[in-house]
Amino acid sequence: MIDFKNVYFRYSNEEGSPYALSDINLNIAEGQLAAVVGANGSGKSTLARLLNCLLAPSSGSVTIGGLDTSLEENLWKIRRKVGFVFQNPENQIVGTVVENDVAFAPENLGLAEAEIEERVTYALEAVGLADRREFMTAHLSGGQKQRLAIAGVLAMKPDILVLDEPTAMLDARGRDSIIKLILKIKNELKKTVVLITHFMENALCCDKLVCLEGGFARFAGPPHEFFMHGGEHAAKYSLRQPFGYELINRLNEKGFSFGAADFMKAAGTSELTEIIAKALENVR
Amino acid sequence: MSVKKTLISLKNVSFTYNRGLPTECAALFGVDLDIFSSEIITLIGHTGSGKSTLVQLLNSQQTPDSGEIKWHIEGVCDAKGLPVRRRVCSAVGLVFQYPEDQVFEETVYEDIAFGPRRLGKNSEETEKAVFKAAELMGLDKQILYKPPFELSGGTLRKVAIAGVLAMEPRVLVLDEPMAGLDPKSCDGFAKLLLGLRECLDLSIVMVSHNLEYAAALSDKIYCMSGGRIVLSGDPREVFSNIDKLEEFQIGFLPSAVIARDLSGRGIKFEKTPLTAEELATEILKNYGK
Repeated sequence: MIDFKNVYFRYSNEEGSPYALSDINLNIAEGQLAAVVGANGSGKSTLARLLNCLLAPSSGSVTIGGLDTSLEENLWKIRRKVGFVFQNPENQIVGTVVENDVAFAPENLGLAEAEIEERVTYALEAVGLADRREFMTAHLSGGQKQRLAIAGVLAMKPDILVLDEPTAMLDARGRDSIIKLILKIKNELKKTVVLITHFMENALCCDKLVCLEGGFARFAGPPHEFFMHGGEHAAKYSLRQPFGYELINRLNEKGFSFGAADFMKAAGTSELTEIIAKALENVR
Repeated sequence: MSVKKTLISLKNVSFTYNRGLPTECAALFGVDLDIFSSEIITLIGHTGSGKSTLVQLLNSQQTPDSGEIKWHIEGVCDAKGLPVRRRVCSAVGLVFQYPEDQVFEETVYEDIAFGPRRLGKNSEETEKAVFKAAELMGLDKQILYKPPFELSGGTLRKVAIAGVLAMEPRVLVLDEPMAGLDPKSCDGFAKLLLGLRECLDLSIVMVSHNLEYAAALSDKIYCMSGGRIVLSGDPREVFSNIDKLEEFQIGFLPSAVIARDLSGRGIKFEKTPLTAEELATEILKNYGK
């Protein structure tokens, strides 16, 4: 679905100016949920912008569903395919009433009245805001605003959804609701999703984790592989380990021997309690 | 560190927006809160729990309907002992969640200089204040003459804080200082805040959703729900009270929850662990490791 081949990108073409992305070879299959992680300035947002033709690679190629993003004639086709959700929903909400905001994009696509109506209903139901349809957008909570921003993008019926730090501004409850929604968009609406995030807990529920450092892709694979091995990957790229991984890695350092199966389960507190209690019984 | 002194005290403070209008909305009920010198406190709670309203009261942008708020800061009150709003605003510096909301000048220097100039400082004093604030925030002198909007989000946030520090506040209020920063920058920011407290004897009030940093940095945590303070204390007191945290859906630290559940299975904990590291250490103590 998404294919990067030998992609280099720099913001200025002057001789000697630095590359924001270098030698990126990456494949994200249809229906996959991919997380992109890395420190500030590692190239995450640049990578995201290459996905919907806000930027074109300086060399190499990016293709989206077979369409080359460097070709001018593909521009609008790709932008309709790829929906973009930003960190701060306030930047993306344009309507004063919820349903008007969601209708903004379909109206601008020049769709028929009935089609617009259908898409607004579809998008609001998908994000769980159907009962807030006639609310003022200003009266929504932070989590609801982010869900509204996502609805606005879903109303364009994109194949791919790119979310740049969608949970950074939210509290724990809002964060959970957005992650559940992202999983639903992947599982039920069958979209391909690219999630840029600093929350390693969020990265754990993805199919593929991509770690960027200094513009290079240092890792692309299953998230548990990235976080196992004593957390050395995470430390090397200035990332935090998810809580459960850090705990298990620390216990392993001191002579416990939790294995891959335990790491796979190390997401929730109740699972962690179980694994540890069991291990301790064996020690006794 | 000097003896702790109360800087701001709130007694039984209540506040309602648009009082007497159809849009009336009660935001705070009977809040008691003391802010001491060189103390770091964190307010946690959901959107709509009253955190921002409370912050606006600290900064004298709103006045309570009932109850009392007092600033025990030198130079804040007039001859009659009444607080002067302008002076409160510079003594209690407020940094918004989005730095771009408060950075507006053409260069970083001009932006940081805005506050001290408005306080009536001459150009020499202003320059001194700008350089000092920039140095405290670890801003390179070279960037002082750049347009602020060329900077990264993290640096821009430092500029916004420098602009507030240039007014020499005694209390610094930060709304979500860590949002959007990567873990390494968060750690850097945490160190910076601790350094500010140390160097300037500054009190810091944070509004944050990041419970890990609230636990790591705060002397005291106040949890808010529905306009009330529902739980407060030092981080261990607050995060060990899991029932209450759940009741008000404030969130919890996974280490504290696992410790509680493992205690039920005969594993001993000397203290409530706040991090994975502390939890691992406590578990290992049970086995003489």
